[in-house]
Parts: sequence; C-alpha cells; structure tokens
Amino acid sequence: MLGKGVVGRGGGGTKAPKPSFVSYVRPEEIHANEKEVTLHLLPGEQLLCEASTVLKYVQEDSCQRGIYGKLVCTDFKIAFLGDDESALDNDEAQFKNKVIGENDITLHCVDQIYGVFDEKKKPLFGQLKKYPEKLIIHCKDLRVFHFGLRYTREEEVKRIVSGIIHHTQAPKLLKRLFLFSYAAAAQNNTATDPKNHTVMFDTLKDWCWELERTKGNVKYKAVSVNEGYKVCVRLPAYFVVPISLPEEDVLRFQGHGIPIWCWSCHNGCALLKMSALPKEQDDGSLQIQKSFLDGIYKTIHRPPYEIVKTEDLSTNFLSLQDIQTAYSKFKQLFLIDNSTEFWDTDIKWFSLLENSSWLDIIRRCLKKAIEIAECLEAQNMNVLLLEENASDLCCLISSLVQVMMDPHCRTRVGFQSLVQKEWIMGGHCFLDRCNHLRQSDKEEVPVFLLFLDCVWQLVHQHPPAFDFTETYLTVLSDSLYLPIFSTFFFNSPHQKDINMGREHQDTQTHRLPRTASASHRGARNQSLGPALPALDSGSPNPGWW
Amino acid sequence: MPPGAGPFKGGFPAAPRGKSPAPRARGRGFPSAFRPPRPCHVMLPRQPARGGGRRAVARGGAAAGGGPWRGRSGAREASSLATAVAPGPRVSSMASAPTSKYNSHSLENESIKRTSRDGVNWDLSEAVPRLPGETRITDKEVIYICPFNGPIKGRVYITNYRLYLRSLETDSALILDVPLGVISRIEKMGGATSRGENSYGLDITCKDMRNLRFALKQEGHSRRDMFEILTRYAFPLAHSLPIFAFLNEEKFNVDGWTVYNPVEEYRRQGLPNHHWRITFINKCYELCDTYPALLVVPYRASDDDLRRVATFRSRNRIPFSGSDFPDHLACPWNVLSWIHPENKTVIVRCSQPLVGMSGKRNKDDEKYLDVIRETNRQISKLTIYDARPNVNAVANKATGGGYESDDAYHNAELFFLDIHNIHVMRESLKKVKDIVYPNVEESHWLSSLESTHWLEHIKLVLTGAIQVADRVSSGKSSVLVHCSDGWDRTAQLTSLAMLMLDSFYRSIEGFEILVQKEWISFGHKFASRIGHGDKNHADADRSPIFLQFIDCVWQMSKQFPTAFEFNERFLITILDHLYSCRFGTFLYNCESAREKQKVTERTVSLWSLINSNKDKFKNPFYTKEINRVLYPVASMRHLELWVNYYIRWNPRIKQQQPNPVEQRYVELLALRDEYIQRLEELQLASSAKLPDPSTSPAGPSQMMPHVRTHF
Repeated sequence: MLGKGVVGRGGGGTKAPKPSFVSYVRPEEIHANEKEVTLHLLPGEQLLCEASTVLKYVQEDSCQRGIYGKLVCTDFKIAFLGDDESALDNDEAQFKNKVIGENDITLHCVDQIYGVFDEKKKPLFGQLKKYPEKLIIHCKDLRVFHFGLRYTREEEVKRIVSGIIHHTQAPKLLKRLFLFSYAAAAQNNTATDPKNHTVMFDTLKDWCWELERTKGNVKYKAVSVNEGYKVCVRLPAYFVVPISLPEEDVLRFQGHGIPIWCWSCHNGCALLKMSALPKEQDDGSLQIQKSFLDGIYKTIHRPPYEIVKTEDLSTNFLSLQDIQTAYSKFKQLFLIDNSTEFWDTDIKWFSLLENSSWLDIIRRCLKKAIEIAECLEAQNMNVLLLEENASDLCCLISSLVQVMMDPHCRTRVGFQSLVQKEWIMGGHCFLDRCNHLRQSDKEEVPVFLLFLDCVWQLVHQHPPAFDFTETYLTVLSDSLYLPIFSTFFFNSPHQKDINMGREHQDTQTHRLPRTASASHRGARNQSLGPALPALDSGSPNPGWW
Repeated sequence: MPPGAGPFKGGFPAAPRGKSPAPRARGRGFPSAFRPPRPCHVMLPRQPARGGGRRAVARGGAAAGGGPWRGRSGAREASSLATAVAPGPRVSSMASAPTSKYNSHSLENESIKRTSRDGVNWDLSEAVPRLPGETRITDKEVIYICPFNGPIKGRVYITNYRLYLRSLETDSALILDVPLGVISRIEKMGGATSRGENSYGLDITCKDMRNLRFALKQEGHSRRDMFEILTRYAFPLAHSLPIFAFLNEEKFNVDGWTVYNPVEEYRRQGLPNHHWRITFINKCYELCDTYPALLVVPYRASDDDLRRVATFRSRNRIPFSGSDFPDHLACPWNVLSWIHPENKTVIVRCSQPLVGMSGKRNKDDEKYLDVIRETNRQISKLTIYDARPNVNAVANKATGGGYESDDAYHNAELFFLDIHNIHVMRESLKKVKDIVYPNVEESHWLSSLESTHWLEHIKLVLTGAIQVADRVSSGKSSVLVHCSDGWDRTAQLTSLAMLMLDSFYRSIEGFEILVQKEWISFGHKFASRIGHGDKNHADADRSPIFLQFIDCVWQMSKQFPTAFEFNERFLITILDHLYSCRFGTFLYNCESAREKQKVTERTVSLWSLINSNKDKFKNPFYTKEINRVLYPVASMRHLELWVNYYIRWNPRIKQQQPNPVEQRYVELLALRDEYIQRLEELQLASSAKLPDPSTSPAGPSQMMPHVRTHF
C-alpha cells in the first residue's frame, strides 16, 4: 500500500534501469541507418584495420541506443565513422577541432580498454582467446566510448579488437611514433609572425633576453659550456648559472650539483634548481662532494648580502608515487560508464573526491609555491630547489612560483615561454611521464597535468590576472597526446635534437592548426568573461606554440 | 512516471554553460555533469592577504579598482597572486602569528558601509548611525572577543534596533553592527568566582551563522544591565514591546507593499480563464486563516464544493462538519500556483489529506482532484508529488494524515520526493555552523561538509522542483504538490519550480512577487520558523526552510549566471532582513495575522529598500529571456557551499569582492551605453542636417544589436 513509483533513493532523481546489452534495433534496420562518412587522414597517416556495423552507444540512456557506423584504426587514431552530427550539441562543439573529431581517439590518448563478455566487463590486453561483444575505451582525456560489436562480422571483430589492443598497448620504439611519419609527409605551413613569439630557450640569446627581462644579469650569466651536449645530455645546450661559478664546476659532476637559474625576483633574489649529486658510499667520495658543494653554495649564499634557502623536493615534499596514486583514483571518478554509476556515486561525491587526495596534492603544491614566493619577495632570500634529476617537481614548483609572481608568465606568450624554459629545456621526461611508448606504466605520472590544474586553480581565483582561459589550458593538456606537435614527445632537448635534427625543425613539426585554435577561442568567447586576446596563431618556432 | 524516466530530456541533465574545468571529462555523449566540478571546495577559502607588507598590496588590489590585476605594467611588488590554498586558518597562521585587526575591520566594516548606504543617517556627535525611529538605550565599555583577531577593547552601543561596537583603540573604527533581531540566544558566561582573562561576560548566539562574545568588568553590574537590556530589545515579544519594524520611520521613494497584487499577478498568468476562477470564499479568513483571501480554483468547483473539500485537507485536525471551522486549518484546498501559458497544465498546492490509520476517503476531494485534472483536458493521470520521504508519509497516518492511495484516487499518480522535515534541516544547518564558525575545518573539509548533509538536502529539494517543472513544462500532466502542512517543503517546491519555468520570477520584482505569493501569502510560518522577537531559542518550530530555498536559488544563479536579474547581494540582503525585524515583510505566520496587525500600514516593506536602490542588486550578466525553462543540475558535483553567506564573517575566507570580472563587465556595459548614447546624438545631429528626415540612418534601436554583448 505504499506509493507507486518511488522516485530515486535520495538520489538524483534519475534512477536508470540496469544496463543490459539488448539492442532494440533489428539487424535488418541497421543498413538503412548506416550512412557512409569518409575517413579523414592526416598527411602520413595510414589505415590499419576497420570493422563495419559497429554500434556506438549513446551513454545518456544507459547503453540502449546508439549509432551504427564503421570503426577504424590508423597509425594515428581510432575513429568511428557514423552519421551523428545531430547528436552534437553546443556544449560539445566547444571541444571540436580539425585534427581530432568528436569520434576520434589518438592512439596515445587511450588509457584502458575493456571488453564486455556476457555482461561482464574485463580489461583487455595481449592476445585474446575470446572476442568481446562490446568494447569500452577509457581515454586519457577522460572520455569514455562504448562500441557494440554484436552485429559486426566475426572476422572484422577479431581484426579491429586485436588491432586496437596492439597499437595502443604494445611497447613502441621512439622512431615509430606517428610524429615522424607526419613530419616527413606534411608540408611546412608555418605562418611566421616575428613579434610576440614564444621564447624557445634553445639559443644563448634567448637566455640573455630572459636574464635582462628579469634583471637577473647582475648576478647570473648564460653559459654555452654544454653546447652540443658535450657535458651532459640531460641539460639543455644553454643555461644560466651564478656569475661567480667557474665553468669547470659544471663539468665536474656532469652538471649535477650546479645551481641552475630559473628566475629572478625584482629585488634580485633568484629561484634556482639543482640536481642531486650521485649517491656515494665511501667517505672519501662523500668528502669530495661535500667540499665541492661548499664551494658551490658560496656563489649563492654570502651572508649578509645573500642568503639561500634550500628546498629539498625529493625528501620533504610529494613523491611521484603519491601523485600517481592520487591521479589514478581521481580519474576513476570521471571515467563513468553509465548514468546509474553517475548517480550512485553522486551522494558520496565529496568524500570520494577527498579520498582521491588529488585536490590535497594541488593544495600542497600551491602552498609550497606560496612559501617560496614569500621567501623570495618578503624575506629577500634566494631559493634553491633540490631534486634528484631536477626535472619533475622542480619544473612544477618553479613554474608555479613564476606564474604567481611574474605577470609576464600570465600572458599566453609568457606562459608558453615559461613551459618551454622550465619543462622542455628543464628536461621534464614527457615521453616517460606520458608513457607514450608504453614501455613502463611505473614511470607514467601526470606531473604536467598537475601543473596545469594548479594554474587552473589560480585562473579560477584570479580570472582577470590571466591572458588565457581554462579552454587554453585544456587545449594544452590535450596536445600531450597529439603526436603532431613535437613539443611534448621527448625526454630532453638532447633527445629531440638527435631525433628530429635541430636544423630541420621548422619543416618537421607543426603547431595546432589555426582553425583548431580558432574554434576553441570562439567557444570561450561565448561564455562569461571579458574578451581576451586570441590564441597565438603564429610564431617562427617549432612545436606546439 | 515510469521508473527510469528521469525528469531530464535525455536522461541526463543538460549542463549549464561555463562549467568545464581542467581536466574536463569530455565524454562524447556524456553528460556534462560528469565533468569534474569546479573543485573550489579545496580552494574555497580565499586568503585575502598574508604577511605584513603583502597584505596591504593584496587588499589594495581588491579595494581600489585598479589594483594588481588591472595594470600589468605596475610595480612588481603588486604582481604576486595572493593565493588561497585551503581552508584558511592553518595557512595564514603560518604567515604571521596573530593576525592584526586590519583584517577584521575589512569585513565587518563593509557591512556597516553597506547599511550607511541603505539610508542610515550618520550622526557623528552620537558616534553611531541611527535609523529614523531608532533610539539609543545604553552604552557599555566591553572587550569584544573576536574569534579571528583576538580581544578588542571597545564600547558597545545598544539601540532599540541594534548593537554597535566601536573600538576604543587608536582608530575607533566601527567593528560590529548587528540588528538585535538576529540574536537567537543570550547567555552569561563566567560567575563571580571566575578567574582568568575575559572569562566573565556575555555569549550571544546569532541566527546568521555567528556568535558574539563580550567580556565585561565584574564590578558595577554592567553585565546584568547589558543582559537585561539586550534581552528586552532582542526579544520584545516576551516583554510586551513592539517589534522594531513598527517603530521604524524610514521613508523610501518606492512603496514595496504595492509590489504584489494577487489579481494582477493572476492576470499576468492569464487568469481567470474558462477553467479557473478567482474566489473570495476566504475573504475574511473564516474558512482558513493560513490561506490568503484571494484564491484561484477550478471553475467547475463551486464554493460549496470547496467547503466540503476543506474538511479533508488539514493539519492534524479532526475532521469537522458544517461551518465550524477550526482555527488552524492548514491548507485545505488545492489552489493554483501557476499555469503554463501554452499547454495549460498547472501547479496546485495544498496540505496532506486526512486519511488516517483507517484509510478514510472523501468523495468530494477525489472528485475535486479529477476536476483539476480535467481543466486542461488531459487524458493522463494527475501527478501528485508528496515532498516527504515515503516512511514519513506513512507515519503521518498515525496522526490522522497520510497520502492519496491508489484505490481512492484512480486518476492520480503519486511520487515521494524524499525531502526531510524541518527538524532534520535545522540540525543539518547546525552542523554546517560547527564546521565553518569560527574556524574552518581544514583537514577533511570535503568529508566534513558531506557529513552535514546540507548540500544533499539542497540537492533533494532541487531534484524535486526539477521534476515538478519538467512534468508541467513537458505538458505531460498537471501537478499537485503537498507535504504535511503545505507551507514548508511545498512552498520550496512550488516556488523553485516556478522559478525554473517562468522567467518573470527571475527578475528583481518577479522574485519579490514570487516570495510574496508562494511564501508570505500562502502562510509559510515565518514567525515560528525564525522566531522574530521571541526568546525561546530552542523552539522546535524553528527551521531554516526559507534560507534553504534562497540557497537553492543561489545554486541556480551559479549554474545560470545570465538568467537572473538580481545578484548575490540581493539574496544576502533578503536573508539579513529575514532576521533583522527592520521591515514588516517577513513578520507573522500568515496573511490574516498580518492584516490584523495592519502590517502594511504600520511597517515598511523590505522591497521598498531594494526597489529604491535597484542598481545595487542587479546582476550585470543578466540577459532577459522569455520562455526558457532552467533545469539546474542537481548533482553534488555541481553544488557548492555558499561561502559568501555561510562563511562571510571569517575575513580569511572571503572571496574577492566585488568580483573583478563582474566589475570589469560593469565598466564595459557602461562604456557600451556611453557609445550608444553618443551614436544617437550623432545620428540626431546628422539627421537634423539632412533635408528629409525619412532618409536618416537606422535608429538607435536598430544599431543596438551590433554593440550589445551576447552571452
């Protein structure tokens, strides 16, 4: 005698039925619905395998409906070709661009693949004995795709499923990245705009310019001791050290134990970073290291004129492991398969979010950056960041401090130059951290994404202080998985130079086509906020910028 | 409603614009609701400033227009971003030990500046501002124990309307300006034997999410005096004194009492029509003293029918016969709240049916519901939303209430909306206060927030309102909403659904009419829920139902930043005067009591204050729209704590005010208007030169679209 339709269980009001995988489309209807959409291939892109009569589910209504089309896999992307333009609403159009369509997933963007067997979802890898009736793809940009294979010919299912698994999960050689095929095939369509370009920091001149801009040239000098990577392949060809530091010291431990300049505050205090010296056991070597370091410290620590504060990011701060664990929990909150799952997790949303610790990690990064900014500005101290290779948390913290303290870094050009300076030239291992080659899951840590999220928090708190919007940050995070732009596909400038050849860079890599940026820009202008300058559409430099 | 068919078109709520933080979930075909919410809960506390020198910089930026974010070329000192890292206290204590008083003044002074702009006359010789009709009672030297900045020596001034605190230290700044109406409870702390600094004095609990603590000298009965005077003027009803609203002599150039005229409002909705008529059956409130005098009922139901139906819809009262109507009959009939302009489906409201344990039936009531169903010639069943959780509705049978059963009401479908009662809401808000006042719980902030369940209740209320709105807007059926009495949850649901459906209510005057109609005239018991002038702080009838409604409105305004003509300040002002007793608007439980007390003649309306200074309450992003139904996303992922209200007393957690983007936008709009005006002048000048005026260029109205900023 209770009321009839009891709505929700204190939930979102949309209690969806349990998803089942019965299709209500009769097989004979299928071909009538299918409409041929042509596959758009980029220069150098090759079709590897395809399957027809694949059903792409629309997730809103618990996997009951979908669109039939063709699923293809190329050496660049997985694409679904179906006629679902009608499904595009405004909200999604804002993420449209010319390189990647709504139904395209670049191979690098695939995070995890699941198969559904008898309504049970299992992760897929390696050689399969049995082929699933449905394929679920979780992407690194947090999209989720469901492809039904029930009406696909068995031969085609085998080919497409094993093709996708192989091309997205098997370890790869660097030389096999699509980046290279694209670069070889594509024409140079770089439009150059001499002014307002991103500083690449690949010449001595760029570093001198930065020193001059921040008035760091009083105490610091740009050196070319590593030209041609003679001293060390980890460091860029040119970098900046204290004026009083003898160049021989750089050679001593192949660039380890050297304070490398990041940025100077208006009061002359500098932000520096240093990679740790090799771990030694015997007392003699330790003694040598100690006296070496004592000498080094004198170049930046001369009380009462200059005081240095050392921040050891390897021991007293976050570990890469923390970041990895937190992010893998965090991303699961968004990789949701259906509306039931969505509403089921909704009531516990805050504690789930908290338990992932991702937000706490962001908080700790921002807090650390504030501490350092205080030291530099209020306490007139140099700050030296220490980390084993000085290429993960050093990049994150030093660039965050600069975004907070230097308005130039809040312009688009300034921000791009900052990423170039701290991350690209700073030797952040993008190839390993993004696991582009699928060689080690252990090395995959979203440090750069963490940085972008920290910046997003700043943009959110101080929107008018930034020349760019969250859309810009989103585009930037997407480009991590787009092997068209060489910017984020190497572990060090040395690796990039030997693989791409410095002198040919301009013809070999390309930045996001102007149209793509334009569509992002258009989307942003519709939402709230004063009109901001458009995304930079031209620079003489290679890479994403 | 078949299970599974959500109120949303695609099964999922369409996300409002502007919500895609990094990293976004770009689910192709996924609801935008899947996107991470703006994780502002981590960041929520804005640390306005840290450390000595920096503080001045950061504050300067917020206050003086220009500031660090405006001119990038400015001094480098001004370029650092003061970043809020987390629920504040720990972070800021790290910066500099005891925070200086500078901070506290910043916030509390602002409220004073605000009131001074509200038409308060500053009488410098008296050291305190006074309203016309406000009289000074006493002043005392005290130590105000500020939870954020430590003890401050000052002088308290008490009038018959409020309490001021002026610092006795160097700057003699005004630190507190608290209407006595917000006081919920006054306690003495410490006794004659109390030792220890500042342990003897008064502890005041307020209704607006703060406490005030004053330390007084033990000698000279100063505490006893202050306690007695405060008690007397904060709780005038217990001392046979008038509420301040009746003494207030403020004059405004607009009369807020004329804002709501029921006949006009129903006419706006196209009523009466062939199916609905206006009845004056309750003209002298003799049938039901908690309903307004003027009601809209089905054309086919005669006044006699209404009298018969009234016996069955009530509030825990034994059914009666004949014309002996009990005094406090709740909401006896289904009366119309809103009618859809096109499909003519309606929202009607009432209280629960008196079914009782025996499952009593009432043919007249059953017939009456059928009449309602037929008003728009609908074939499908009438939808009844019972706001309560199912179990509560069942439990209500024991006290004579209940719900519409299947067998009695063949042509109706009943759904429960799972919204909890006033007691649950009161306890939930108490928990919110525990985690935000005086200190914000930094560690485990999100799970603490979750454990208050406050946002979960907000979610349920919004979800219910969305379902009501969707039913009506889709034209599926007319909707009847009730809870137990029909004046708490029912008012929340009908008014929120109307706000979603009818863009008129999203304007300033429209919202005032909505509050005046659905809340004030239909008998939300403001006096009992708020306890105006009443000393019984533990009264079980008190509950933040109206606050919860305003919070829901705020959540909607966050999700649809261009849909509302009013801004956040408008909502906060309404809440401030919900307690202040400066205006008559929220006094008493129902229209009949207000009429008896001649409230409209003897007091000033809050809408007079607001409408005479509308610009202050306008949302610059507002874009007027007609016929757009708003469906907010009622997911925890998209709800946030209203920091600017619940944590506004904490100077460390304040968000940038005014919002810099909003500020810039206001400037741009002013520029636009200036250019339009100049254009008009130029056109006038040039058309004057032309011999034939008909060939003059397009008029300003045609030129406008080019200049107008579209959102």
